[in-house]
Amino acid sequence: MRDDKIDFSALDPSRDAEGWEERVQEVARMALARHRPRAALPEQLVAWLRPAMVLAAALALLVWGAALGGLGRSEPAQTGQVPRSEAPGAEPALLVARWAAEDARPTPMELLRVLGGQDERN
Amino acid sequence: MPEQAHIGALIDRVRSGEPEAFTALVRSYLRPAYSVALAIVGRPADAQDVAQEALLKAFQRIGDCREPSSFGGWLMQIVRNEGRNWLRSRRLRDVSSEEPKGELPSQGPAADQGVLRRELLGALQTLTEAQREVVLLHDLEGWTHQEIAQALGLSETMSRQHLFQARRKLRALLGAHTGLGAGAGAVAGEREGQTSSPEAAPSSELVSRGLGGTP
Repeated sequence: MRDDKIDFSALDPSRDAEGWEERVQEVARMALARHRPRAALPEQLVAWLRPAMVLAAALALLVWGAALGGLGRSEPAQTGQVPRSEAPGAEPALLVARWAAEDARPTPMELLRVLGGQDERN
Repeated sequence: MPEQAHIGALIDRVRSGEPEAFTALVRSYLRPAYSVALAIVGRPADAQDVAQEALLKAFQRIGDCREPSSFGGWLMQIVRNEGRNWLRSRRLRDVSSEEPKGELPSQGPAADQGVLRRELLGALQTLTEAQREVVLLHDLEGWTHQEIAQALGLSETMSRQHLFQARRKLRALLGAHTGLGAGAGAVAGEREGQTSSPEAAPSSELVSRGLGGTP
């Protein structure tokens, strides 16, 4: 067995050194142009911050709108139903807001409920 | 083939978008990618395009290459896939595999180089794909069997065997046609049952120049 190499230099694309170097530079340039480096952790957090803020604001608006809608509803007339704002579990803040919106005077019972409402709910 | 640690550092720099790292990695791997592509598509011009496209794809997916030590093998697999896709699309286009002859000068050293090139390409077509890959990576790129085995997913023994068989076939083919001129490619190809390989035209000229025993 002859162990010497076969001379493939006729097929060597880098024989034209200048042309080959140009090709190398061109491929590197194209690769770099297509490349999008992976962002560092702080950059990723900043990127997530904006949509998170938007989402939080949208949720806050939704809750606020729902609360306002609840306040605008008329009291159930003689149905025996407890108003939603007065139902067990209703937020004391909603009661206070309703008094403010309707310029209503709270009863002592309501005041007690707002001030120590947890006891009554339980 | 560059050292693994060096490649690892280069890949990290590529990931962070450092332009010099792109150039260095392309300089290290474009030629080996060309060799593997040539083993598959059989035409130097196509092989250059395939190698280029494969490298661009590799750079785009560099995040998928978790082990820098396996970058060579990972890239060569992309080259192979790209080359096979290229072959399929070429078959669909039904284009002859013959290189444009008009590009070759008819006289002088450039013409000799053209003839030599055709003869080498024709002779390569008589080998299996694996033999072509190994002999080109070893004898054109100067890779060791260990590097070839790692890149192509072979054992070193298999790599040596492919090289041995490839060289033996090439020498037998080229040596058997002593005295054939540059225009005898088709005859040589037909003798080897490679009628679709019009570039097969090994000659004594090739034997004396191409196989002259590069140490």
